[in-house]
Amino acid sequence: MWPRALLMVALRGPGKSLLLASAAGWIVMAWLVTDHRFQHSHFTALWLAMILAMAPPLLLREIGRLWRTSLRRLRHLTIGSFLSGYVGVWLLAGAVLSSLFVWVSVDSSRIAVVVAVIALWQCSPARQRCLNACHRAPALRLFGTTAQWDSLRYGIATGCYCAASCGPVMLLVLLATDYHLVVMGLVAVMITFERYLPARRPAWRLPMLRGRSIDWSGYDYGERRSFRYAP
Amino acid sequence: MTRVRKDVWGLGPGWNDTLLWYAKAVRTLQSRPVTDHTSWRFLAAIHGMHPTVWRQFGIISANTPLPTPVLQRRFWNQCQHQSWYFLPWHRGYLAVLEEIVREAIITASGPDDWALPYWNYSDASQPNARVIPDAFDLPTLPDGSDNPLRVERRFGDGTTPIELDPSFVSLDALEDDVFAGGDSDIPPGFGGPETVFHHGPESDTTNGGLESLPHNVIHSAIGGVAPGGNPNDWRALGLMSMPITAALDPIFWLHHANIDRLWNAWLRDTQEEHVNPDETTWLDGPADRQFVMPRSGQGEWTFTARDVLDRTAPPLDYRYDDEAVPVPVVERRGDRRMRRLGAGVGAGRTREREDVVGSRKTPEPIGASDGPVRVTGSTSASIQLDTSSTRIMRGNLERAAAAASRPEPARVFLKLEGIRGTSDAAIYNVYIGLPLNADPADHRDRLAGTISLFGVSAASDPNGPTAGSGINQVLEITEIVDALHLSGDDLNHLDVRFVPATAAAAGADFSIGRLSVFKLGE
Repeated sequence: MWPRALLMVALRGPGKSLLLASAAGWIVMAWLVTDHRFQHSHFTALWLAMILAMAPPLLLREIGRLWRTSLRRLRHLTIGSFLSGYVGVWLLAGAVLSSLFVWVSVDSSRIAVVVAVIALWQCSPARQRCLNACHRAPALRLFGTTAQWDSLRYGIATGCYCAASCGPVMLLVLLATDYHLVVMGLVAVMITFERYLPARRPAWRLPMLRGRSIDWSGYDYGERRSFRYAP
Repeated sequence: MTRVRKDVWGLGPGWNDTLLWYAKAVRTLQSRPVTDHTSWRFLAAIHGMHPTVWRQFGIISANTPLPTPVLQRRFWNQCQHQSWYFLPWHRGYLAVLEEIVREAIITASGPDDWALPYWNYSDASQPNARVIPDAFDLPTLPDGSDNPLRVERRFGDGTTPIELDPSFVSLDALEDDVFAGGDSDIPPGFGGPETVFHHGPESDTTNGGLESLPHNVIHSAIGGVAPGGNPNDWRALGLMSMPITAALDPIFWLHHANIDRLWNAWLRDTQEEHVNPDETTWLDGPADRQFVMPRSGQGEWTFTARDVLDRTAPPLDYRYDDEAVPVPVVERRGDRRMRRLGAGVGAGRTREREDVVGSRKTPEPIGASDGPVRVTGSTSASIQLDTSSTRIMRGNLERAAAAASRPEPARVFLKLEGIRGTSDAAIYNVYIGLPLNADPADHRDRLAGTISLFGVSAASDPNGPTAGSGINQVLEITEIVDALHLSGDDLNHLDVRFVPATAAAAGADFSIGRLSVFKLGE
């Protein structure tokens, strides 16, 4: 039932447009990668194509929510503000990863170090907190420029949590120079699947696997943190 | 054999055979270790369980052996809330408890036709209907032994016996036309919003119609807050106040038998075409977790909504004692509205299938609060409405009043998005358009609804399944907006007032991410 259920959710509202955009991104990616004239100086084009290919399936819920909960006449503007913030963050992330890529490519031992750090990060509770934050429903204002400002901030926040959760593994995609598309495809499936798993307690665990201990979800009854009423 | 679930107050005051056997069986089940799948605590944990809370309340100790993590993950914390699976899951759950209780009764030489009674707190013909049945308050059984139906952690509103406020037992939910919620959970649906997964990760969670009132409100009203306790501290709450402890209280099962009976009553309404969903996602769902219950002898029963639709078939085998009683004929919501607007009713108006199905229209936000709203005691808030949308609405309202054959104007809903807090026992009345300094008690026509925060604390956990997004509540405010329009209000903004509905939880506070107004239709 899982695949059918996911597809049902995916095709609601603006979902169809998003999936079409993603398909277009993959086509552009395939063309850029297989075009022998492609140089590393075309990194920005490659990175933008990657965002276009991989981001829409991850943003179905966010865009769907903006579509349903913003004023009808401001819908496209609201979504545009969100995407500006989101893509802006990912462009910055691309710049950082590009520099890292150059640094790592110098020496193969650096690759080993970076892979180990990424593997550790993938299992870390801090990363789980970022994944959890992606599930949070925002409280956005409805009218005027404050609505667009809230949407822009929502896009930036979502972009930051996204980049923190999945940016490091994107470096592995960049490093897989010969198998670029294949690795990108695998990573895309993996991070999309992970995106739609429910939020869970931050802990050291292998990503996407359930782990042996019970995840006691619900309010942290044992912890004495004061409750934050602001969302 | 089809057994009959009876109205508990119809059995008379004090002890009767049904409740006495129930009490004895509860005692037997409570004596079984929590590792026994037919023990009281194992069965209660199927609804909800949290080790910290259960230890704090003395239900288990730090040394109590628990079932293996594999079993806990399979059976425990299954309860379906804020979902269209709410009613079918609880039906299966009750049937299993009833069967296990009956087996204990038969073993003790009791009747083999015992069935769970229901508490019909909304029965206007029964003077004591809203009072908790006596047997749940008496200190001993007739033989002098301790009464297992009496629970210390059942605080109510501080009075003994617990008596429910009349507004808490409202049956307005039976007016809902459609089982499943619509887009954006507008309307939320009699049975609850459509969710594809167990925890509904693909959408924010919203309480369904019957689930909100009377179900949630009665949970909070019975569980309540300890006298003098802080309603924002879970340690002060009664068992019925929180999903992770509610099923430990023996009154839970009579409450849910009534909720199940109300589902049946809604289906029996001959005026409306009230039907269960026919989508396979409901009939065979959810996609990511099976509903599974223990049977005696360490067996188990997995089921879906499809398996619990025929109540007379095994393993359900029950019916209610009121099924021959015709459902009273009442004025349909749409007709009542048009009459109040001054339009004609009946002959000229054809009610299209669209109106009944309801969820096929797309709701549209037309107003919201300027940011989050923090509610502490009696609190006011303002919602700005979009002037072009309200201009169209006012025009349609005037045209509807003028011509009998026009379709119903847009319905209006208030959505409390992202209710977050720590007090599951809080119950608040929500008013729209109260005149300044007015006493809410004098303006019941401006009451949008009564809401309970049952389950909110778990939904507020930033690391829980909803990532701290809280719970949404949708209230229909169509008739209030109509009345404001008729009184000359320009509908540029709506004043909202939150008023605590119980004294014990008056200090409860919570926050709402956004107060939104949606219209449904043109």
